[in-house]
Amino acid sequence: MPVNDDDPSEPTPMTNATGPAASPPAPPVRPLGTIAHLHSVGPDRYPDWESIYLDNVERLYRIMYSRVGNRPDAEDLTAEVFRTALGPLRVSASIGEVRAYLLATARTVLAAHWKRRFGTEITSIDMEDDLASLNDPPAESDAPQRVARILAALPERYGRILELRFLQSYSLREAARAMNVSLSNAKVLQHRALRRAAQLAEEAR
Amino acid sequence: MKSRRFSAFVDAILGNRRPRRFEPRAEDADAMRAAIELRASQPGATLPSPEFVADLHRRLADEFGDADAEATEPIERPVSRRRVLQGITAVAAAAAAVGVVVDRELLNPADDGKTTATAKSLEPDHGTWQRVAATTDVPPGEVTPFATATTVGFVVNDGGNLRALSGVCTHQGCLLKHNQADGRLDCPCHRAAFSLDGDVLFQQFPGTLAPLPTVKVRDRDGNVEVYAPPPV
Repeated sequence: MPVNDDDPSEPTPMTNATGPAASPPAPPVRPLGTIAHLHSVGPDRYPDWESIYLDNVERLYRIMYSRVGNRPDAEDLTAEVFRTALGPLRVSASIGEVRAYLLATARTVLAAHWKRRFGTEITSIDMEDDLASLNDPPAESDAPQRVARILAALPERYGRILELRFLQSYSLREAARAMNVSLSNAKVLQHRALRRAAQLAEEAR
Repeated sequence: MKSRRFSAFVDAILGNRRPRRFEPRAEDADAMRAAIELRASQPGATLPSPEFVADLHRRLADEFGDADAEATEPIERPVSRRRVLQGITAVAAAAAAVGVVVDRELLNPADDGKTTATAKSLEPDHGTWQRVAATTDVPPGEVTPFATATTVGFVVNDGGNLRALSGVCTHQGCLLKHNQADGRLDCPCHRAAFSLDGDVLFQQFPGTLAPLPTVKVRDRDGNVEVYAPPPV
């Protein structure tokens, strides 16, 4: 299984993580740059670091994007996860252990991102739910249906401004014009609608 | 002041840009979370670009690759197209827009620059006809956006003939916006625009951009209906 080294500046996802993170301690960390030598065979093992990367990059990016909502941050954070995790990872770890480690690293990286940029964690990674979707990505996301239900459940004007903004790409000014309100009213409406949507999303969970 | 910063956050999220830092109030945090969730649920939004996947692969190879290992495969090779297609098709299928983002081929049909990008039609395996507007809402010359539970796009009434186009940019999956003044569909993420026929008018980035796929549309009993996957 993967390990951390003793450098306090390194993230320590395994000690923070729940579930798979509670596995027994791993052997000492290898020096960097030797990953390609460690080939392990078996159906539940990755042959090399590239396989780890190629098999997981899209899965991890998707989780990261759904937590930050924009491409530059999702790309930077995904890159940070791999750069942080590939060092201490042993290729001989099982696929499940590798993914748990990647996700635990992602959780730490995401938390640090929010703290650094906004002083508070806006979104987070759930080791249980997200590990399930990392291991077995759903064939079809239910996000659009969930969002459609949330928009439909909002008061009419709240649903309307979010539909204009998020489904029809209206600028705030255009949305204000379409709804016949002032720009500052549209801002307030948007904020309230999003807060209400957050409540409904929470209730739906 | 604070509300302006929150609005700027939403604008950044919608434009797929990095939001500027600010100190959110307690009530902002929930709203920010909702904005992120709404943005991430847009068709194709969570797809990583093949360029990013290949570039990160190269950067990691520089950092973690083993220069002494002669027997290993060349590390600097870009991600194979097959691999990208396999991965991204799975992601695309999960990306909600079952009728819109079906296959990466629709997004980047010609990464070798040899194939001519041609428009494709989006036909779901198990679609249903779904009402998206009243016929009277789409008079000749009108362009109306529509969104079903699974598909977003535009219905165009071209001199009495209806056609429907996907509303998702074939570059990286951003939602297109109807530019009424210029009679075209603009991508708010990067500089690209499509005609109301779905053809690429211009793009300001390298590579080939596919035309917009069409969606089946009909006028039935005073209703405009599109053929799209049903809600789950």
